Amino acid sequence: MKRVALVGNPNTGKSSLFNRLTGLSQKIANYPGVTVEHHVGRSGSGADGFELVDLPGTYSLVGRSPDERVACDFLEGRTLGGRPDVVCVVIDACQPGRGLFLLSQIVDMGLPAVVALNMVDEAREAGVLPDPARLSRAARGVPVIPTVAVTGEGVDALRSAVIAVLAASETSRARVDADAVPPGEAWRASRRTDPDGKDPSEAANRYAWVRGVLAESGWKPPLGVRPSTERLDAWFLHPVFGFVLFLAVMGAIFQAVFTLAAPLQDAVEGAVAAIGSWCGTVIPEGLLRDITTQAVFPGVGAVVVFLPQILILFLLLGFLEDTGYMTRAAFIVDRPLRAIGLSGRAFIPLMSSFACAVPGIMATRVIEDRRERLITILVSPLMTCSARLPVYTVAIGVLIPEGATVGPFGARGVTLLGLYVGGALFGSLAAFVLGRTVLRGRRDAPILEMPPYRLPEWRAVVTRVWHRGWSFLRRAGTVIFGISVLLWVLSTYPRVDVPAGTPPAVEAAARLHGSFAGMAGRAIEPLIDPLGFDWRVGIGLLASFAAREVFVSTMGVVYAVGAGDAEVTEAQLEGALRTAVHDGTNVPVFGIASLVALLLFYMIAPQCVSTLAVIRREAGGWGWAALAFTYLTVLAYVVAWAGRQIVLAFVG
Amino acid sequence: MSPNRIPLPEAPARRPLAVLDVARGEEESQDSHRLSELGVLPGRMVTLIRTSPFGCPLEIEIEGARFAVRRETAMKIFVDAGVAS
Repeated sequence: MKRVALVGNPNTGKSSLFNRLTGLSQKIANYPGVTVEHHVGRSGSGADGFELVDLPGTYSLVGRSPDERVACDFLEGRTLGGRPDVVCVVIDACQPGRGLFLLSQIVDMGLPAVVALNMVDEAREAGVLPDPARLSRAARGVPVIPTVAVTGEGVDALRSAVIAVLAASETSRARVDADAVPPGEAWRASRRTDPDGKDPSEAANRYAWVRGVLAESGWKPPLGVRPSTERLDAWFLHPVFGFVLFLAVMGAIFQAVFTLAAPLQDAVEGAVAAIGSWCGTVIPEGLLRDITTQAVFPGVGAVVVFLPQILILFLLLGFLEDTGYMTRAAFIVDRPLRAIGLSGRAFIPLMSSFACAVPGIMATRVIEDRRERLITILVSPLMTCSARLPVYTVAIGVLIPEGATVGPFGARGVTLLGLYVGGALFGSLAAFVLGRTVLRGRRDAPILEMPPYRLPEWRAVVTRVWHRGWSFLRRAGTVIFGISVLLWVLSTYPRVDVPAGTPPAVEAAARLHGSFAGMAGRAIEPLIDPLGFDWRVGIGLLASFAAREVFVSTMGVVYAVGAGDAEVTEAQLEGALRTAVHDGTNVPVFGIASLVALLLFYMIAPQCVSTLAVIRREAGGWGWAALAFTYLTVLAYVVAWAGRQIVLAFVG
Repeated sequence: MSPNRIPLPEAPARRPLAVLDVARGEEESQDSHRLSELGVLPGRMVTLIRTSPFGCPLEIEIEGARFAVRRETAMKIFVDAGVAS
């Protein structure tokens, strides 16, 4: 199938156009040879259909940032599959200059191009719409199609134009061999003499061409930005209120995530429990029923409960991002982030990491500077992700009695907030230290476009949230499903013979003690004993390295074995943890000191294979993943140990 | 008459001013190249819009769009402030 690449500056509505052109057929693909995913979709049907590849937004194709490099490599055919057959360049109709700059580079590469002159409605309203026909004539005959991606206006015309150019390029390709100057020669020549795009006259020449094209098309520059943007920025970027509003917006997001998600989480929890017990009644007694009711539903259910929270956070962040506010947030926090060696660009990745570090780390691609990007990647796991919440909730539930208060606030909430702040503080400390040791050196200062405020297009926001939610569910359905079953098997086999007549609880304890999981837990017991953990917690810690939230379901399996219940409620689990004692003693396992150690350990430890895998992919090597794993594990151990010692010193 | 050459952060806000030149800075710095790709070129207009609540970065307008740039980056852009008042 023919391949068409979609390129354009950031904030030109490229993703909306991609959604319009491909409908729901898109998927996320990972081309071999590149470390970055592409959104790929199919546009049109039958023989006319083509594959559309959405490339990252960029201003230039010299390849300074990772995103730019991806676009550049793809267009120059260094990615497997060769060069695209046609490039569709999305240009903002309100300020076409920078888009035409990009077009000139693509034309120089010798690639057939089609221009989507997007957001013509806004340009028309502002009275600055260039005449598409004249623009096309001036720009070396490249077809120019006016579009409004948000409403779908002009999308069919754009598809037809792409198909026409695809057909024409096939016939012209035959002639190319006889041509004296092969296409792309101008680009290759400029890259030979100036590989890094450091010659300022290069940009000046291109802009001279751009101005000529714009003059010929009769384009008049707009008078400043839109008044609505001016009015909103007067508040959101106000020297005093700007920061207050920033705090209010971020506080509101967190508040909304917790309050809006709570009823949905209850509903999901109820549904999982109901299906689980229904399965228990229809599946005949035996291994399959045991696995279903004791492993799959408690394990997967404990994780799926967090889907509402993740979806709501992504929905709100995606909405704010599309309004243009997130760039303002980056503008405001650049200075504070600079103090720890980062910049405003790191804000969106770090903020996303509060939901899940995986999309957060992927969002670091917008950071041009390699060192800053690596630091952001390495500290992202310290932001409190939603997977930690089940562990926090259970441990805090055991640690702090319901109704306890700190001043006017609930003590449980204050503790939870403290863990969020603690993670962020250790993240700042880690960024500061990494920037002065492993990753010291000069940084490239960020240049961020501040797009006009726009009403977000729900379609685009929902599509993104859907993709993220789906990938989370897939993880729950595969990785966590597998781990739940594996853990059940490991904690059930080898079967230990117990004399008949043994009380069920004692029998269960003996069985677990003799199982593979019990052996592994006991093997690491000496290592975790300084933190106050026994071998049962050890099983949970080991299982958590697959994914943190598994700790809760593991504790469910570990302590519910005797009860024989299919579903473990939070209250049951908390009760079980409260009464748990170190083997052969009356010393509780989950005393204040070891609960504090557990919370501190989970606040820092990198217990998530998905995160480590994404670090390897995004940072480009297992070395970085190993560094993240090592420094976070050591830090977690030391902090947890220190926390326990402090509590022991005060409480005894 | 010789131009009144000053770095952009010292220029009055919200007045479009002509770029005189962009300092190259240190050898490894990409700033001047990235600025030129965005359209900060001699003879073109740039406008200082505002400063972030914490004093840095600055918001500047280039060719109809606004960008956040750090103070030291903007210090490389020299503009003609016209007649000193």
